[in-house]
Amino acid sequence: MQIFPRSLNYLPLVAAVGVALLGGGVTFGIWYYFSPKNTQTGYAPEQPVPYSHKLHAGELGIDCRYCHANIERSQEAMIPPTQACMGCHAIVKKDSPKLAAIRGSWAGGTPVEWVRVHRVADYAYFDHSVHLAAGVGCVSCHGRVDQMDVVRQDQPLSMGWCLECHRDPTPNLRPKDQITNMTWTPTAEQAAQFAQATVKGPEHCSGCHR
Amino acid sequence: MSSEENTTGMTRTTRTTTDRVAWRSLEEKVDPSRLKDEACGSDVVKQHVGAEELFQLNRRKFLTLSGAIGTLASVEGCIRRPVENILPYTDMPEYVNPGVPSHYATAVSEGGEVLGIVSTSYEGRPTKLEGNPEHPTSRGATSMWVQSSILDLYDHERLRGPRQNGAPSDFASFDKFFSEKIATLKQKGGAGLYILTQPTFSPTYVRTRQLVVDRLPSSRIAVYTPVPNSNAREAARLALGVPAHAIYDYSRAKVVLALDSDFLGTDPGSTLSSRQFANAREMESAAGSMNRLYSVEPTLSVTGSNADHRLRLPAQDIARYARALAAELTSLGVELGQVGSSVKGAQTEGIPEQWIKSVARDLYKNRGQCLIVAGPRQPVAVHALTYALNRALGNSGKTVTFTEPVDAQEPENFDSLKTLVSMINAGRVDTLVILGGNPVYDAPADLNFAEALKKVPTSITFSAYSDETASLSTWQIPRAHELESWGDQQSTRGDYSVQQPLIAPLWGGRTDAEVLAQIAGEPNWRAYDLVKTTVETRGIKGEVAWRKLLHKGISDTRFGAVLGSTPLRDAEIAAAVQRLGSVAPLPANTFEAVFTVDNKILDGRYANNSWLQELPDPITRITWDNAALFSPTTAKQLEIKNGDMVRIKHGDRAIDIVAWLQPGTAAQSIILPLGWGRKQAGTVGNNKGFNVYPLRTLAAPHFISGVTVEKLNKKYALAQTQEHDSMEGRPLAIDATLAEYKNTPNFPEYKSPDPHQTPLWRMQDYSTGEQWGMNIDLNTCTGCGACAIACQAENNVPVVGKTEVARGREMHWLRIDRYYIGDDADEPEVAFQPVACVHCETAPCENVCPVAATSHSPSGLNDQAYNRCIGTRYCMNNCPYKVRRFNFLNYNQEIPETVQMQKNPNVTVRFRGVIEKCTYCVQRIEGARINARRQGRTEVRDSDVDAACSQACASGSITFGNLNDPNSKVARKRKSDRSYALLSEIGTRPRTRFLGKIRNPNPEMNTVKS
Amino acid sequence: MSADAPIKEIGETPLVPAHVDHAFISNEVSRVTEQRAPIGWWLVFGTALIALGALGLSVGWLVWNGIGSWGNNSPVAWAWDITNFVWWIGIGHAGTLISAVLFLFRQKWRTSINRFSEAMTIFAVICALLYPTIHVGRIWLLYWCFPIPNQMSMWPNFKSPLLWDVFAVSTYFTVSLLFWYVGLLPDFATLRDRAKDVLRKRLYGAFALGWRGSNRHWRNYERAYLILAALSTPLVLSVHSVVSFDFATSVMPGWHTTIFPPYFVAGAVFSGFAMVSTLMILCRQVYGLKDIMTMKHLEMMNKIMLVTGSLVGYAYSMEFFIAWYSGNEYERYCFINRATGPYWWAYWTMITCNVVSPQFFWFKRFRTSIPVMFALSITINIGMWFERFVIIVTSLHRDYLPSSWGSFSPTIIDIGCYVGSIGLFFTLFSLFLRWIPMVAMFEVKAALPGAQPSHHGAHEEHDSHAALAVKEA
Repeated sequence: MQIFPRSLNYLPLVAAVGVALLGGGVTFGIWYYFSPKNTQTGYAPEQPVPYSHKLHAGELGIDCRYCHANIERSQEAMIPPTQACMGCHAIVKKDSPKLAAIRGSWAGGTPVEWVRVHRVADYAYFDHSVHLAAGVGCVSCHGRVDQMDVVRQDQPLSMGWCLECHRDPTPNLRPKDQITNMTWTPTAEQAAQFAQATVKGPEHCSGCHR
Repeated sequence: MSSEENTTGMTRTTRTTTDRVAWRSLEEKVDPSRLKDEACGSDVVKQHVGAEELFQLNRRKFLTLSGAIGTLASVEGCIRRPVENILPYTDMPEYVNPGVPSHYATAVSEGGEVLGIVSTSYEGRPTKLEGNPEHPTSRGATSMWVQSSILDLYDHERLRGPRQNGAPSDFASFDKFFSEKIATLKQKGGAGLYILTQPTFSPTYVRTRQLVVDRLPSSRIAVYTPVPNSNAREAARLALGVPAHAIYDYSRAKVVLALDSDFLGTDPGSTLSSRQFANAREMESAAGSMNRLYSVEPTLSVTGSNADHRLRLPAQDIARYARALAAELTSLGVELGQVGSSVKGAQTEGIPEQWIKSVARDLYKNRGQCLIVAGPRQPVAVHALTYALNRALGNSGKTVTFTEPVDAQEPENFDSLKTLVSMINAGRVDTLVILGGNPVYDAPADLNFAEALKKVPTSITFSAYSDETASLSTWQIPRAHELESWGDQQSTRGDYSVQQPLIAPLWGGRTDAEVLAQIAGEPNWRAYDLVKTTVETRGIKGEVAWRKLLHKGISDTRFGAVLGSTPLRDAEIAAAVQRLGSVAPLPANTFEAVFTVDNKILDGRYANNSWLQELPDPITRITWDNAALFSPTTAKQLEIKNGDMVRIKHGDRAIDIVAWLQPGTAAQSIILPLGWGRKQAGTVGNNKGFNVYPLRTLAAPHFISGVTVEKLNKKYALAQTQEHDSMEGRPLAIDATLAEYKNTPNFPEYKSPDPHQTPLWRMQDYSTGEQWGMNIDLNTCTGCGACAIACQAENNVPVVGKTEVARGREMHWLRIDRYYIGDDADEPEVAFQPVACVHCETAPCENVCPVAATSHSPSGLNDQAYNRCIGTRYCMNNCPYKVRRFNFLNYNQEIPETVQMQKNPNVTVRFRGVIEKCTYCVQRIEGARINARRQGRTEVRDSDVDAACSQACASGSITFGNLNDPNSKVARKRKSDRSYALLSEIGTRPRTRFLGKIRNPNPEMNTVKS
Repeated sequence: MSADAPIKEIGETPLVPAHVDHAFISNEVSRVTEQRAPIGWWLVFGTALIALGALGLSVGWLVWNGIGSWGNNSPVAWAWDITNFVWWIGIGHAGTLISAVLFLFRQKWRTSINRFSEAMTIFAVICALLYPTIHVGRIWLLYWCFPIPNQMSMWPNFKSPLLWDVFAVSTYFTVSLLFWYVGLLPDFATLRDRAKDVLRKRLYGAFALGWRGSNRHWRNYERAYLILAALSTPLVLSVHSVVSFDFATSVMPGWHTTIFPPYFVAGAVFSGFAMVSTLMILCRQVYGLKDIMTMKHLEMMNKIMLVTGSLVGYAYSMEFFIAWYSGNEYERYCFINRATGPYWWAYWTMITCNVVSPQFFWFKRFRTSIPVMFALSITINIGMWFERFVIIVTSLHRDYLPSSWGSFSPTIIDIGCYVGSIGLFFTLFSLFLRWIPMVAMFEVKAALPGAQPSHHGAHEEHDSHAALAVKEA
């Protein structure tokens, strides 16, 4: 008596192959699409103040360190105090509606609640100053901020991504005086010189995790 | 994928609409970032069109594909991690540099001495205290109490504002009430006003108090603290005619005789004493010489456990011993004058002869470079006698000198409290202002202070907590913590420091000086003004000098005259010694109770400090409790076992307390540590241990003979961190006598040899770069425990509580192993051995971790990546030193906000389920490395970095640094012939090495036994 | 298998009584899955389910609250968790041994117990796998133990014996499962053919993967079975050796021992056989299969227990000797402490149960007495659990530094996790008894006197069955 259709004969095979593929597919999918490369890059939240780096850093050509002061001396990103904005905007564009929040903060002494864009993974103690000291430019991690109206995360900031550079920083090294230059490209001899550079990021755990 | 790529990708597609485009990756086909936008509701159509042009597939296939990715992307893109905000300053203070700590010099007065300290603050939030290297009393070191005072500062259970009759009030209404009250009192010249304060080292305080005395002449001042150093002080008054501090210099003493003195532990100024003692004990090589310490005491103290010879004597017999010794010294030709006659015919029953003859001879041999010191428990006469002996032995000006105290008017402690109480009972006290202290809890029981306090019409208590005393007062006002207020301190040596607030008072709060100034009616009664005035009256004038004083943390000039040359008044001393009479030895089967200041929480002031509660007692290794200590033989006679509850009676007073068998306890002494059994200390301190104050009376505040012990058939569980006391004959804490050392200088390595076989695999090359290492010199380590607390403060080490400790789950990264040597349970030799992760070069823990959460750094650190650890605990098993700690539960749950402020921002707070351990303070190392790079240096200098434990260690036993730097402290110490590796035979090649302990017994005394 | 060899057991007595024939076997074995379950089954199943519930609760609480819910501490960082793991893995050994090794050695008497022990193996390994999973502090990150590519560009540490475990045990599980299933195919077919209602037909039919017992089927089957047997034979040795590496590769006194791999394997076989005979005796009584699982079988097993038991005993003594001979004071202390320290009772329980008790099997009287062997098999299971407890806890609780010596006491959650795992085991096992032929019918048939142990014989046999089934339909 035939209780199963003939077509079922290949079922076991198909099932076996299917399961194998599915397993592989899921692994790949998670590894690839759930990695910060896909989940983090491109994150560009709306900020309380429509501040445009494109205008300030790009067109006006204000150096990063004018607002992000102390960044060469501290681990912190140094989001500038309202004071820094008012430094100019007490005179320039002093009643622009866009700057209402700034003026409010300055008057009321309440901080502007900027939305964090770049966030290194938990438990990683990232230090800006030492990277600048090593000659890694802003653009290497933050991208062409001078072209961004709204700041977006440009790089994955994942551990693997960090390690790539820690293992071979050469492509990201530049003269200390060009740190904030967004458009700097090495000349042939500079490239050669940096290829010789001995500077290297730590690759051991405690280099970043404490 | 960078923005450029996208754009090129898209442009390429728009350019070539007909022919198929090859793509390198999926994103190029469909740009996820755009899909994110889409999902987030930006233009959908354009996307699809562009994409469809991009690859000529049939629409169905495409939609499924993009759909899939689209949803994926949208899920991620929109609701990414919780949105975080960054709140910058609006107007940033000039000197603040977020993320970079700033350091402030200040001072704290701790248990009878002033310590200069330097604080580390992040954005105005002090997280750690270190000793001020410029300050002679600390010399960069700290005690466990200083280290843990930072936790007290943030204690969320402190009094949070004024309370009137227990009901919350505010400063405004208090000040109104207070000023009116003072006004009324002023009319009577202050009559009926009593001020109860504590001994002080603050010139400003003394000055303001003088103002009160001058302006309200009929007001009265009482001074009380439960465990004062007043006997020494009164003795000085007796011997010199003026009140004075006796200042000892242990670094110049070849022989030290401690009479019931714990100068390395709980006695005032132990931080400096430890440093000096270590200097005299340190051995560069076998050729060098070291000091010798005799200790005569009823209980095994930290000092006694470091002694070369130790004699167990009931506290009451110490006087007898002192007299016998004095008599022996006179017979050796030491000129004692009248005092000599007073000590004749001293009873020597129960005192081994050699302890009189040999010790006397040893002291005599070392005239001018020996020292006899008596402890605060001993009566005035004994102190006076020691002064006389020291002078007669030619030590004055060398190892002993006297200085003028800050507060010359300080009355005798117990008398002044007694007067106060009698005044209250006589109804002569209308207003009582209590500045700190907790007399309701710790006043002598027969004074019945609680009842007295209730009789006072208006009592105003300035206290950090709503404690036993404050809660009985009409007004309870927050008393500012030393670290959050302006003040000044002058050490017994006369070094003057200004205390600057490290943070605004968390719950408001007044300083003692402020209150006094208010009473005196000073218009500018704010602490800052008061201190500034004092500073100027002391001749430090002008802004520059002021700032220099603040910056340096200590004045250039010393205050308080040295009274070295003042002659001793023999007649008075002799009279006192005569009055002391010859104490009869305790008859058999009678006991004396000795009230000792607790090794951790002192007189109870630190009861609510969880770090100190959990720190194992240096000797008993008990946490979270105290216990009545019995000598093992006595306990056997009384059929008492560890953990039995006993009732200790004296007259009609009795206390119930748990018994503990403590080797080294005098046979007829029962040791009762003070400061426990608090009822209103806070959630940490309440009902921990047993309160022994009820047994303490004015007549005998330090020890009483004739107590009886009754065994109750109840048990009480104590939590110890170390349950096994013997080394089982293993070469762990290796020691030798001086003679043995001179014969075999490398005795430790001889006992614990290094296996010189090479491992199977190729070793990492450690010859270059910084290579971190540590030495721990067992010879100078006193086992005090400051390092353990320093580590806890620096590394956010959690507190787990009594039950978890009992389960064997304490988290201390740095523990101090305490071993007893010798077979006589009553006469143990003690060896201390601090053990933290020793950072093995071939670490057993590293191979076994399945996820590589612990691995080696190029500079020889055994790294532990908490966020990689999955908690198999395999490393913990495989660690021969058992220094790895596992978060069995979430020990960091629900930390009060203020306590969170203490956490070191550069150290991860660990979650449950992960292993943690000593990292050699890697955050400091990395900080120093980053600093060096910032300054364009490739190497870290030896001076740049120090571990928390070695920085705190007063005796300088712990040295840390770069082994590859031949001039570093650590490298030099490494060369010592006493250097050995713990458990070296396993071949772990630890980076922390120990230096063998040396004992220096008197060849004349064949045995240390009594 | 050679066709002409006479099917005789050692002692020339037939393995199964004379009155047993093909039909008898099919009926005897199949009826268990066809008739209503006896009350005994319900008792076992019910109790097991309750225990399983306890497991659920305990594990739930453990994961929610942390490893601290167990009694583990410092220095005893591993306790009941790993003890149970090793215990179950050990039990899971007999299956492969009986099926593979005895098969390769042509031990005919294995036929009526192999199905049984394989099933037991698989369920035991499932129980074993539970513990490494739940004993980690952060179970949600367990996948880090597998070499999956990730954005951290971090790989597992292939130097760690714990990782070897992961692979060894999972391999063992997979192979055992295949081995078991392949062996089941013909019997599923039989059940399918005997089935009355369509549902049964479809279900068993599905599992039978369309087995018709054709010539080709049998040839493939026997080749497959032989290959799997060959594959799993090394596993018998490898798995428990690898488990023993967890301890042998460490530096702890009492763990750091070269004798561990063989010693663990012997112990595993020992406990495995003990568990098999426990279960066998039970089923034999409950289902009255005396004629298929004969006294002969039981006696053979008891002999093996005697041998392996004595092997284990030898290992114990050798450990002591080496500890003394090494002159290593830590090693010496460790073993003296085992026998005389705070956990002396655990050690002597172990010795009594594992070394002394099997010695009864020297005597035929005991070897062939059901009560005795049942009691002993239980005793041995207990003993083997204590062996693992002794190795793990008594070695850890007093190691190098006396300062950090400690002790271990279990919590209710510890107990819940242990009892619960037994519940899990018996739940699975009773389900197996209910729905799957517990004896490899066709293999027993092949072991009948005069049977042709080649696929031809079995082939015809099955065809006849098929025919029968058709008639019935």
